Amino acid sequence: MDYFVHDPVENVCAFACARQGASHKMQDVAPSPCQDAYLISSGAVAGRSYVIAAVADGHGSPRHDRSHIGAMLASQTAVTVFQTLLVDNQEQDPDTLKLAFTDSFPAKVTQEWRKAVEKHLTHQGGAPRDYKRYGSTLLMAGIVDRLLFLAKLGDGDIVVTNRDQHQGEPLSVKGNLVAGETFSMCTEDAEKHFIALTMNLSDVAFVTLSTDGLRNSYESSDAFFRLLTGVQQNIEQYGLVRASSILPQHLDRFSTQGSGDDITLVGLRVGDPPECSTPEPSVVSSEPAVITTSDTDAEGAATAGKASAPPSLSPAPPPVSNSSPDTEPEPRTDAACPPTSGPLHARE
Amino acid sequence: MNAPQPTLPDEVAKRPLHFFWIVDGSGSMTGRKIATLNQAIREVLPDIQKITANHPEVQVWMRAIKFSNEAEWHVGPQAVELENFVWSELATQGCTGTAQAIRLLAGELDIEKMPPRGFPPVCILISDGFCTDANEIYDEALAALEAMPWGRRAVRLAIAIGSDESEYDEQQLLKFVNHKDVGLLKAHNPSDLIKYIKWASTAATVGASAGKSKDGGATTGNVVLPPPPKVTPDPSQVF
Repeated sequence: MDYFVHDPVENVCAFACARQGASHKMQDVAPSPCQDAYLISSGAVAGRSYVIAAVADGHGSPRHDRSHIGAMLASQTAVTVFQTLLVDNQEQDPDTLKLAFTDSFPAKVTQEWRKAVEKHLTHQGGAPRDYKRYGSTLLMAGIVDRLLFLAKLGDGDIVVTNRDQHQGEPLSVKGNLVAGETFSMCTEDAEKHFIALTMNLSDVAFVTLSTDGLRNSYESSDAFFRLLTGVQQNIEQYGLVRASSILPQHLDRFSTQGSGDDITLVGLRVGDPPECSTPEPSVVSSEPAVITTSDTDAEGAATAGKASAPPSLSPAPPPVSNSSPDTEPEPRTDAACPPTSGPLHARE
Repeated sequence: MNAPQPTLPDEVAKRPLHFFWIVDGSGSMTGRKIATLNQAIREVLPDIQKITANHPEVQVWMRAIKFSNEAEWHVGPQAVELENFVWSELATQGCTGTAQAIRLLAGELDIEKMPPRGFPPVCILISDGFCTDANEIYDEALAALEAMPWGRRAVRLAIAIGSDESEYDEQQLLKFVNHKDVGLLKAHNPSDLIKYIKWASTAATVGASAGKSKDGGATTGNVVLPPPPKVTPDPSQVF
């Protein structure tokens, strides 16, 4: 699936593409669903526009048999917690907001993810608090008030490109995890392994979030960065629509000839949109695909999430994700979220 | 004239899977044991190639350590692409320096030497006897291997060769194995040895290249292996 958001918020437009890994389709391995999930949401809080993107990578092994659900819960929780942070700090100055993010986002998102997993276990069955079944990484980028908020747990890559085309990985830490090992939302002290920081947006041109299936398709970091430069240049030259339209075939090729893994690439472009102004509709109406919970609906049927938005949240375009309607959705009643009714299905 | 189309750089590369044979070349392997081993490894190479043909994202790099009085490279230290790997006859003489072989292996699994995007390496130890290095030295070598992140994550299997289980130190060889569900593979005769070499090398390659992430810090690997083949005792065919 490929998807792009055309809703300039602070002159930010976004694209996303998630593809099932080539090795997951192989006949000698039991086929497994795509373990990657992403969610992009935009709107405003007390007049402050925001864009949030979250990407998660489920672990996919037999021990983590619901990790595709865990990944969807992780991406969704990241968005919800960030929105709540904005609501709770809507009267605060930017420095206070920054501190609130770095201090509390890791713990809050971990806590809320566990709650979401517990509710899913209650509805769908399983040993209580068996978080490992839902193990997932998490990447998040949020833009509000000329600030860039970044958070990362586990593998996957967040690359920030400045206006002078310098590429950096501000959340990269060299460690001793090898051969697919990663910290996870299901790790006991997950919040301690998060990296969260903020940056001024003024110098930023492009931010990408990608699961490790993409970088693992390249022998060197330089080759990986050249790919991201190529994506960015395509956007500048051909516009977001045409640039993102080639992603599915290329990500499939990268997986087949490179990592074999699921690959997700989400990008946020900052600046006057040369081609982003093309108002081509990018979503198709469907049932809400977000995973929600409800006390009144133990079966978890997909009801249109009519949670009323708090007065401080302006009506927002619906969030976009790669989760599909048949992935056990349950209605959510978190009042911090914008209304979830509306189109959520990614475009083919 | 068609409008120019966006494209992307084509620098995709396969992910490496490093495979190590660690083979006993001591004097007691002389005769039927080493002849069967040499033949079995040569015969299994096309099987491993066939398996990896179904996984075009995987590039197997193979090496071999032989040990007797000392440990040295039979093929190496430079790894060879599977397609170009040739197994030459392994000669036998001397004692059983298993600990030295494990040390040599540990050195190659150093985090600075291994490719960051590699699959878990596969290490198959094949021996017919008792390590003649001191027990403390053997345990130290294993501890050094376990201290390496790549050593911990490797698929480590062992095949014991002998008509009788008194011919080798089962507990010592088991310490090398990190798939306790598989245990020590005991080859009582040439047919067993061929079956186990084939199973260990192909199952480990497929398992290692499945490449799933898991939460860091867990002590058990996430490489899932199928159960090994059952072997039927055949007194007429023992080593």
